[in-house]
Amino acid sequence: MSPELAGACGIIIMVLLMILGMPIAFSMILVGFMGFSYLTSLDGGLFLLSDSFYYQFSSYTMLVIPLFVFMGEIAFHSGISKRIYKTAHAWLGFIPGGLAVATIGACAGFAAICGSSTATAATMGTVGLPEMRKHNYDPAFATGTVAAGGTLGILIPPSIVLIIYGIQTELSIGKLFIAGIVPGLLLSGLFTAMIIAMCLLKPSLGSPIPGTGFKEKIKALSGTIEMLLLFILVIGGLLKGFFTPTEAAGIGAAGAIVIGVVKRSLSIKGFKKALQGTTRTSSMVLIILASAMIFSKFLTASGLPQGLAEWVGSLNASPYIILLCIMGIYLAGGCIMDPLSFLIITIDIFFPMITKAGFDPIWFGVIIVILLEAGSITPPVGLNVYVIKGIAHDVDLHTIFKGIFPFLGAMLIGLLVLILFPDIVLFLPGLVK
Amino acid sequence: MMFSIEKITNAVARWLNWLSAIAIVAVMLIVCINVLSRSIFGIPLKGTVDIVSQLGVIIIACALAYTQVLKGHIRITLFIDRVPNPYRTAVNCIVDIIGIIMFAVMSWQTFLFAKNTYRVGELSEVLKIPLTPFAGFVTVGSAVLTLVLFVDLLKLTVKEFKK
Repeated sequence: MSPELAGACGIIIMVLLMILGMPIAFSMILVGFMGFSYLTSLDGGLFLLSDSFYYQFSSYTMLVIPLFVFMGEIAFHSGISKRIYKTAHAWLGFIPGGLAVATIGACAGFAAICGSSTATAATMGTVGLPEMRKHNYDPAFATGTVAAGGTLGILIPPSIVLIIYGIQTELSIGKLFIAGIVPGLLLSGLFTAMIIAMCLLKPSLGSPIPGTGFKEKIKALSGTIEMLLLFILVIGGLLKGFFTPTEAAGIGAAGAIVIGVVKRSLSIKGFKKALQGTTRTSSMVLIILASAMIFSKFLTASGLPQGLAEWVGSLNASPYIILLCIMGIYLAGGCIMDPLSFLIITIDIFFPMITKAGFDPIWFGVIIVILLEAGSITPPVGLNVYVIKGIAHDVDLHTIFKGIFPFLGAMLIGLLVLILFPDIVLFLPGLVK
Repeated sequence: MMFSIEKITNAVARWLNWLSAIAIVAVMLIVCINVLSRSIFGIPLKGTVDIVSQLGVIIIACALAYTQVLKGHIRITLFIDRVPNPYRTAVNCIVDIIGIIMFAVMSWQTFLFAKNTYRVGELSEVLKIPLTPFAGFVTVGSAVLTLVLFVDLLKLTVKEFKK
């Protein structure tokens, strides 16, 4: 068997194991180990196992993940989400579909301190959904809004997906973060426009709430101002080169704790829960990363990714056709499995193709995030949708998926805009040295 | 008997998980102290990267097993959940057995790795901390994960027998 064929067989076996319900990380370790042993030697494979685990876990860069997860968890357990929602409620409630618009606004705000899409959906779901239900918002519309708004969590920095993309492709995490800001705002704007348009066409979907006075609007700001400062400190410090990403994450987590303690909104119980949530998410993500390292050593040894990239290059196809195909694969992949794992598994294969086709790797990172976001709200496996289902027990999955379609449309428009005008993504990172 | 094995394994996994949680707080504090000391006094904390990198091993390795107790390791259940029952349990058992063998090998290999760091006397770059104990945590983490997977397998078979 030629090495390339072994690589292809490995991928097929890995997918098969995953379909049989083996945890994604375990499937990658097994296939990576066996394949690498086959291509080199058993001793080589065995050494790869211990070596990858220890060095992946003890990498300084990787610490950025648990620390940013911790920051988001603290924010979640200290009721910051409620205050952000209150602010958005006071400022945006009077617009048609006001509570939905406020939810999107609050999601964007929470995304600025949380790097995970499911956490954002869960947080804003528990705050925003009851309010919308109370005001008789259409269930499909309300749940769809929260599920879609949650996806902003991984586009607006900090973002776990962008961190992992950065680590795997050796790009600057700071630049990737700043590249996500404008597209994140663009997407929030598109979601908002979609909500307003829908509510103007069909007012029964969701009505505006009475406007609040200027004084109350200012008062509502007090709940969120400290988080805004924390965001500016963390992201600003990172961009100015004052902190490394790991330091920025550590300062962010500590800052969130200080705010929680000063505001007396973080209990000991909440703190413990935040820690448990952090260990769980971190070990889940990091074992997948370590496994991907084993698997990717095997793939590299097989020469398959390089071969594929060269083959695609030799097709002389338009770069946009290649981009479209890869986008389709990510969209489909995100539909059937956890988007983050899908990214980790596939990036080694597609990244060389994209750079060879002449696309900017930072720009592609943002595009991938939006595609994975779209995947996380599409059936049959939409993680965000399951999260929302867990909060709104009485709404069935079918209804939530129905509510999501307009937002998927908004995402596709957003993608199109970013493909046509890549400078929207690249302008800000270009300013950073 | 079955019950007590599960209880002990879960307790060990939970205990390790708290170690991981403590390591997270420690990393956060060390990183912050380093940034503050560097920006206020202009003196960076020597060896920060050394210490926190090794604590990173504890964060992840010690949380692996408990994450499995909580069924937190991501898997695709879309297809397997639709398979009718005796077959589904059979597949689940096989997948579990593969996992057990794999992490048993992993524990053994990481043990050899740790042993080797001891033999060579491998030290961290700046502070010259011995790496062996930290490499040992990967062994412990993998070994307890193997145990948790074993308990899962026992539970699956016991459930099938009771039917």
